[in-house]
Amino acid sequence: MLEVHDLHVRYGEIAATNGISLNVSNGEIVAVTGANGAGKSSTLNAVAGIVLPTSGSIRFDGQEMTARPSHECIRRGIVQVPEGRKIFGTLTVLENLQLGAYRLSSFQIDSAGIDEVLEQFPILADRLHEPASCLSGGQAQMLALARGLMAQPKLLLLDEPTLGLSPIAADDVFDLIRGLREIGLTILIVEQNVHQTLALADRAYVIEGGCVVLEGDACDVAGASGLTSAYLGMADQSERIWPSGRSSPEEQEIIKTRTAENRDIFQNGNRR
Amino acid sequence: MAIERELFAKMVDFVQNCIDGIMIGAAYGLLAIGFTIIFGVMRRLNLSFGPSIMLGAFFGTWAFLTLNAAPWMVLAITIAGTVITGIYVERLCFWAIRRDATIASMVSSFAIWMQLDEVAILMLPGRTYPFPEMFVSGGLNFGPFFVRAEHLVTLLVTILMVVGIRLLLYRTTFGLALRAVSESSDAAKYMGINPSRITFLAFILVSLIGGVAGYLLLATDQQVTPYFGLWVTFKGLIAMMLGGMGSIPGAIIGGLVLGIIETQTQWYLGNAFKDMSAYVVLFLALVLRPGGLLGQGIAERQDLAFRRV
Repeated sequence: MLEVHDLHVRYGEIAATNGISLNVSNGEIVAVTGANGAGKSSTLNAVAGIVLPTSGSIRFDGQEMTARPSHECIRRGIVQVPEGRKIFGTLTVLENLQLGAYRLSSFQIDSAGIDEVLEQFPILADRLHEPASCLSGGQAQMLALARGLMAQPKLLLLDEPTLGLSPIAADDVFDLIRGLREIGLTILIVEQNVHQTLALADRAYVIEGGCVVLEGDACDVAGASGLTSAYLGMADQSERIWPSGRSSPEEQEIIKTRTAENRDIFQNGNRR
Repeated sequence: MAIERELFAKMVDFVQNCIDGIMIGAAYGLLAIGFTIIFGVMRRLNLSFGPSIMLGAFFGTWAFLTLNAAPWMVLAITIAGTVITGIYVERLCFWAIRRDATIASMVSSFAIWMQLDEVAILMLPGRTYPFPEMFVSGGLNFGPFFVRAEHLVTLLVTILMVVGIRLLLYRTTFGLALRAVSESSDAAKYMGINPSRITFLAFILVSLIGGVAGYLLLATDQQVTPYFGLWVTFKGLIAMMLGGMGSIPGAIIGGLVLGIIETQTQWYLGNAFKDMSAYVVLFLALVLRPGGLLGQGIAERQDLAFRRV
């Protein structure tokens, strides 16, 4: 469904991504994890047409989508729920939802579409006419998700959906994403909440320094959770991350080999 | 008895001035709406807004003088001229300059002001030209009060336009997108809104409003000079700042307050004090209520909204 190949994004002198390649198939949930500044959000923003990549290609449903503006991406079905929610606080909850459907050709002040989305978000139904600034952090995130669904996405890009939320509110968000998976939505999620995200996802990519340093089935990556941690800024503690009781010696050997390989890739990537 | 009659006459004068002030102030309010919409959408002032209206009016005057165009034709040409000039200003000073380069846009819109003045002077080099009167003339008596037909038309058109703008902003997709871009053009991009396109349409909208306001003011005065651009800029900016930047009801209230203060000052202190009174009021308003009459509340609400989300 989505094929990203050798994606480079730069902000002036700073390289945000250094040749990221990833694929998302229809109906999958794919997680992208990594430390702050690893290039996760830049990748998502490039896919959604918010930032222009300097090189590389993005294909969606077989069509070339590289450097297409965001309104065209949304029309094709790539919808991003941005980091920090970006709710319009001075507009009402209803108006925020209507803005979600802005790019649909049938956009009117369409209560039918809103009713359908509100069934999944009953908490918003009671507050439709209140300014969005009155919502709590968790409710605002629900609104951001509901607004994303209003655009009838084929591929939903979720950028740090639990950022700044309490553990309970974060659990609610993850429950909701599980619900979206059941209705067959394809999701590419960027999250720092590694364990919960990997438990949810089918496949995962670990990004560091603008490069993919590990990819595979989510359960494999989750099994190598220590490896993930290694790329979250604790590389020197790799020996201590895997206490002997947590993995079998064979698993530890595999993990150590892969760590060394990936570190090598990572360092080469940095040298470039 | 004589004292009572004198008091009554003074009251009549005062009320009559208020009526005249409201009529003129309505047009000031329209000008302020033009400034406030662009400021709301772009967080930048378009200093060429007044000169654009002046140039539009010069096109209308030129058609009137050389082609003997009818009043409705002059109205259409004034509006069309203002819209075309508005688009020119938008492309040159706002579209071509990055969104975060606020000062560059304002300075370039000031430079374009000079250019538009020169175009007007090249087209009609004289100091003052007659502007055709409206399709209505005369007036109406309400008891001891008199209202000029032109003033009545100005008030009615203003009311219709404010209702129209309100419906446009709160009942249409374009209005929703415009309000979204006003709050955050970055967030609007995630909705698939193209902020450049919305800004372009906003410029067309405010140029339409400005063209109508310019026509109403000039057809009431029946003369036009190249200084009309400067005059419009001052009146519009003062009315906007009195009411509160970024607030449409504030723009109308600011316009009405400015109109009433000007007519009262003109009546009681003389013509020389008319413009000065506007600056004194602006100065006092900025000292006592820096956000404007309605702007403070809006600023606080927006600040709260931004902090919450």
